[in-house]
Amino acid sequence: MKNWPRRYLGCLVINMTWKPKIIAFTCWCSSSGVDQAGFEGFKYPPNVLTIRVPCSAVVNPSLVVKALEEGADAVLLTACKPTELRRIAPSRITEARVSLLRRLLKTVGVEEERVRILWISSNEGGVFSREVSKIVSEVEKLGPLNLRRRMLEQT
Amino acid sequence: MSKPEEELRTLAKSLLEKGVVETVIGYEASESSVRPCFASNPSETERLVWNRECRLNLARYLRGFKNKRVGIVAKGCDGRAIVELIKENQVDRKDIVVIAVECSGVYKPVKYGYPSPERRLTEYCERCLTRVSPIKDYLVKSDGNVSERNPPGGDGGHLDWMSLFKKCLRCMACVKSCPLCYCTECSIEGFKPALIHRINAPEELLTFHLVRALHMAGRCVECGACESSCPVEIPLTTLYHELNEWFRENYDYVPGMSLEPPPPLVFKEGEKLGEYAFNKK
Amino acid sequence: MLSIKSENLRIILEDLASKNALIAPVERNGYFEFSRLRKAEEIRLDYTNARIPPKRFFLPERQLVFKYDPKKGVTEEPEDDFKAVLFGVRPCDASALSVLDSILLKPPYRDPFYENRRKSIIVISLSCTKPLEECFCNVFETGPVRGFGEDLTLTPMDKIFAVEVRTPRGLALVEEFRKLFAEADGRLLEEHENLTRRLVGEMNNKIRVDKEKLVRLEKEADEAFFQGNAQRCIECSICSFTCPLCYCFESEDCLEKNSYARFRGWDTCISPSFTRMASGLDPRASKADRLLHRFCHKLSRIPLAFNAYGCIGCGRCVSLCPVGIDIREVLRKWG
Repeated sequence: MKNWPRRYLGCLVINMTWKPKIIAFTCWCSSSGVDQAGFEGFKYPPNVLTIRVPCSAVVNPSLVVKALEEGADAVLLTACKPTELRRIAPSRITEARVSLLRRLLKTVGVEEERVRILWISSNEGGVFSREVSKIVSEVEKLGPLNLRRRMLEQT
Repeated sequence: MSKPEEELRTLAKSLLEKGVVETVIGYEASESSVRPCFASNPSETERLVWNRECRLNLARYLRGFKNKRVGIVAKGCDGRAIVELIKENQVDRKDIVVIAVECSGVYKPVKYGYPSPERRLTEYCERCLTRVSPIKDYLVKSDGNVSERNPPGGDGGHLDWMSLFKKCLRCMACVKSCPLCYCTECSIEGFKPALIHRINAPEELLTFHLVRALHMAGRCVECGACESSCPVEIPLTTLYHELNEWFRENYDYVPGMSLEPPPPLVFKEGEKLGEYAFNKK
Repeated sequence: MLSIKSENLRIILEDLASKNALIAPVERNGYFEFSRLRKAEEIRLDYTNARIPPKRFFLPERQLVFKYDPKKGVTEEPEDDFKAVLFGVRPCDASALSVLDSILLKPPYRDPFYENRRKSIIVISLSCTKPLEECFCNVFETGPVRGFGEDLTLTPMDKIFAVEVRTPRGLALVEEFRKLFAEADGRLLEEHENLTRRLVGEMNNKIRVDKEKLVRLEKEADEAFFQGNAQRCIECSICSFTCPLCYCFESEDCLEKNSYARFRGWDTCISPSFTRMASGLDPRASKADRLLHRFCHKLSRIPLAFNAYGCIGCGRCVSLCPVGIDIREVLRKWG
């Protein structure tokens, strides 16, 4: 293999299937739901990397943009349902932010389905795994995002 | 000298003579265009002008006059910026004297190496929501068509934003000329811990502009100071207009029109749950 | 002096473009800019001037200096191969390169990155026949017909270009395409002289400054004059970034997981943190100080230290400054 010309090896790399990379910002309660999915054996695809945050409202939309720029193909926010919280403001803020960000991404030319919220309680591991599997297949259909490459390409 | 200019100069002079304000911020003529003017003596008010080159948003200079009495010449969009600044506690209403001038639009700037035979109104002036400042202490009437007009819908979705962003030099002129960008340590200027690096890396330009758009959403008064300062002609106002449309549709909120409504994403406790979207797509 | 017909010049440009070695002015996005071209037909020989000066090819906005890896230690980047022919530079911008040479290549501290680019890029300048309103190149004698930093000077006349060879590298390029060039006849030389005289006369009518007197800027300039400018200045970096002669840079380390890379890129002395030190001390804390420094540096200190003026009179800062800060005012007052 070492003596093969570079272009053959390049073709090998391209032929390997691209797998979507998804970053999930999980809030405290929903991350226990995500853990539970693991405990109870609900399977979900391994493409999802979870980052635990204390509350979904901590996630600044700038961080989501940065995640997309650094190579994520989609970003997921899991948040607590407002019916289960004493205060509803964080959920409203998160919902508004994600909606605004989706509108911005649509304007700029990035598919808005790449950023989503999931409302997961701490006992809904099954819901999480089901939804995430759906999301991964959707992102596979959308294709790789490759924002870095798009910005470095010559016009 | 036109009538509004005369009125403006007399007004500014009397404000300075009576000691109502220490400085009047307005526009004066430069060699080929118009530039900001800071008149502290009554004699300096002779330099004030008013014409279709008065593009810059003078509310940007209010941050250098904290705790000082200052008079400011304001077009419609300038006044909206002052309203937003008051709402965000950056400007004290008691410290400023707003001289509102009826504006009928400004021309696109003629910049280096691209002479333009005919002068046209800027794009953002076509979308103007209020030709007269929403807050005013004095009103200078001006000639020209000043009737209110329904703005056309935004068309920011048709532009190829990625290639427009690639032209950006990170000169920060948009940030520095914006009245509402008053953060001393800007998040996209590369202060450590850095979201993006200080030196311009082409792959980070999208983050720069998206983060700026997110910070301006719902606050941008579309005065166009950013767009007219930009040396590489990125139509930033169109992008921020798209996000302002989101606020208008979802919260019925237009920034800068009046002092009453608080900024939209400030939620009070005790609010009813209302409609909510669960697992919305 | 030589001459070349327009069609023959086209042939040369097309040949260079096919080898991916041509950078020339094109019109894009509402202004003119220099771009590497594959097809020579896009070139705008009648362009006014590019907004971003050609210094962007010699001092790029972002340049890798070295990389550090715990396994390999410091690895200096191999010199990048940036061979090109930069065609169509105006004489003022080309003179800026000569001034940068005297600053950045002065022994014993030569800037290796700039030197490398200067060695691998051939500069062909195109005389101005229609100066812009903002131009004042006559003050510093950097144009409008010939500058002093290019390898070849082309002057457009009626369907033919007068060619002046300025350096051995320019001669080598001419030798490569020798068949397409011809000796200039007496009539062309006369026309060229008339054109030069007319253009210089036009420029002299616009602004006349005694630049030797600018040395007193250092001693006599006071902050009060710059106070008016300073109140307006918004500390963006447009003047420094678009100036063909501004060369100040800053370094930044970009961290990866286990390694880092050091980059250098454009900086501006107008920025509030330019002279701010870790202790908090800042010798140029006020905007008036920084503007005073900028003008003194360009008009008084660079001439004293390097025997060349730090301004070429292109007019970019004058036209692109959002708040109308004008170096011509400074020139008129102290020149």
